[in-house]
Amino acid sequence: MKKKYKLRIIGILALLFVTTNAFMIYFDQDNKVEQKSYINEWSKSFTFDLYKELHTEGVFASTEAKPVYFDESLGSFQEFITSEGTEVSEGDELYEYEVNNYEQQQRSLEEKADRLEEEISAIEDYIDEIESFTVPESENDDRPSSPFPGLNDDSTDNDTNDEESQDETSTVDTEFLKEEKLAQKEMELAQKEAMLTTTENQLESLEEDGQTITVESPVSGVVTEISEDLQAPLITIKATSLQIEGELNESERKEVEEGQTVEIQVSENDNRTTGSLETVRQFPDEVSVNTFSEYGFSVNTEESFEEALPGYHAELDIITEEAEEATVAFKNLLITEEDLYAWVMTENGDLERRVIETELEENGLVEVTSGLESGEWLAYTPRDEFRNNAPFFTPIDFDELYIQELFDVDETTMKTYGLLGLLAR
Amino acid sequence: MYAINLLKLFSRREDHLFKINEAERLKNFWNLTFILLALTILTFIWTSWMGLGTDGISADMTDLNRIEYELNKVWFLLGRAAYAILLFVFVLFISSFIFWLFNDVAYKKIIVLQMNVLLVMLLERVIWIPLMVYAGIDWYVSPFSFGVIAAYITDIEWVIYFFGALSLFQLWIIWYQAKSLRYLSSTKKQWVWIGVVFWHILLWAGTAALSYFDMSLLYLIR
Repeated sequence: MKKKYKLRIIGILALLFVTTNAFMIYFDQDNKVEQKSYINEWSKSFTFDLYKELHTEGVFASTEAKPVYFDESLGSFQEFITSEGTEVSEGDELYEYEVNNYEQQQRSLEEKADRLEEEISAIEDYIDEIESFTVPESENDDRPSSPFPGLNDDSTDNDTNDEESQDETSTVDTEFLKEEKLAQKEMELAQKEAMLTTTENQLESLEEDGQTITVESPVSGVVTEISEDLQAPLITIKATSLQIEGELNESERKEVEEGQTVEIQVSENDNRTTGSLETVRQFPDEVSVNTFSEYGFSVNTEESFEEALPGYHAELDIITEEAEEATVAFKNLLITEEDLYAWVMTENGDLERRVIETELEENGLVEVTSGLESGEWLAYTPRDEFRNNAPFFTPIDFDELYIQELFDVDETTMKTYGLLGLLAR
Repeated sequence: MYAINLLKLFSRREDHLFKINEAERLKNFWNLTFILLALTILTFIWTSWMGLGTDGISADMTDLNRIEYELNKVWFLLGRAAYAILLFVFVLFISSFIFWLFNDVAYKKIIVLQMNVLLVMLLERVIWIPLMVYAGIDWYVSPFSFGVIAAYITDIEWVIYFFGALSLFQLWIIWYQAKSLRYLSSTKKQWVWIGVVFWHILLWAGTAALSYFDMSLLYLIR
């Protein structure tokens, strides 16, 4: 009886002892009791290029579509020279039309020219006549019919004067008149001749252009549409150089900016090439509360895809943000409580709870902008065992061992660690 | 002729002590010796595999690549295995020798006593594993020891180590050794007790010193 009693007391005392100790450890505020951290998984931070990509799809399309119009007032349409699907270069013939009222114009111009010619020859004859007329010497009596009939009135008014001076004056006047008339007619002649030249030029020009005028292509490309019923535009030519077009929805549009690099993949087996985001529309196709807003974009392909045709689809990755040569860690190593921190295994052998700042995140990798350097060890599990400033220890990981190399270690190392193992308590 | 049964020696101590006393030969002796050697080595391999005691090695691991780090730990483990052998020899043969010098009990019989002592020491070691892995508590601040109280009172390292070595397991061992020796030998009660306690104090001091220099060695290496 006594013995059992004794045993029980000892048992209870022992239990009390252990429990008290346990509490003392648990409620240790001033870190009197040194605790250590067990870490069985950890990984390194490293330097990496991080990209944030937006995935979308696009289709190949021509960079430019040029419409060609026909003004019906110019003439009457004759025929198309080119057809849909034809590749045209700048200057190739597209269609021809007949100029309106060609014959009429031609005839009127010809008549005008003829008439002018007649007038010209009439004036020329008249000029010849004037030149051949000699002013007679003061013979009052036999005065031939003067080509200047109106002048006699002047001379008769001066009858009261000396007849000789009268005669002389009338001779001079007549000479003067002659010259005047001559000049006048010569000026008319010149005018008519000029008009004739113009008319002849117009005629020549009309005849040169011909009755039929051919319109040439202003650009190079492929004729995609021909309007057989002459609706505008008459012909549409699409450029052969291609770009990739697509649409972005509202949330995608917010992330994207013109000029960003785009990775393009046409089919699964092809390599990726890069292009850049050339334009992104500011306005969506339709603005309404009830519809999803879609914003068109185009991607300029720097190298031409030789085999791509309009209508081919491509997978696009738009690089919206990038961090090159960034210090990167795996996202699951970082912990957010009140602040973002990581458990860093320091060179002292202590575990440090360090506050860090991050930026870009992609695919489980995070760019660390402050708090970490590349190549630092971060503890992963078991998180419950992580204590700030505690010395840490790790178990042996069989998978990471190369047993063959065990004896390749240099002697000092062997001795050092062997002795440590020997002399530890 | 007595077939050694260590477990019964725990539970039915007096009966078996009696049998040991009467026995001329002890069966299973060498078998048990080998088994105990294997157990000792395994226990220490287990603790070092889990990384216990390697926190000194963890310093500078940031400079090493993973393989080097792991190999260092393996060499530590090999050192620990050697320690295990030494401990085995010490507890079973050298401690017994000391006891034999001061008590008139057959050497072999003392060894049998010490077998249980060794088992308890190994148990204490094994308990250290969950304490470290799940609570981060090292051996010298084990809740089974007086190290926690020492840590609260003082900062002096070797004092903490000394009292850390003084654990409930050690107290039991003292009691067990004293009781058994008293039964088997004719030495007076007080002397047995004093002898055993004194011996253990020596051992604890030795452990504390070893741990203390262990730290210095680490600093040297770093």
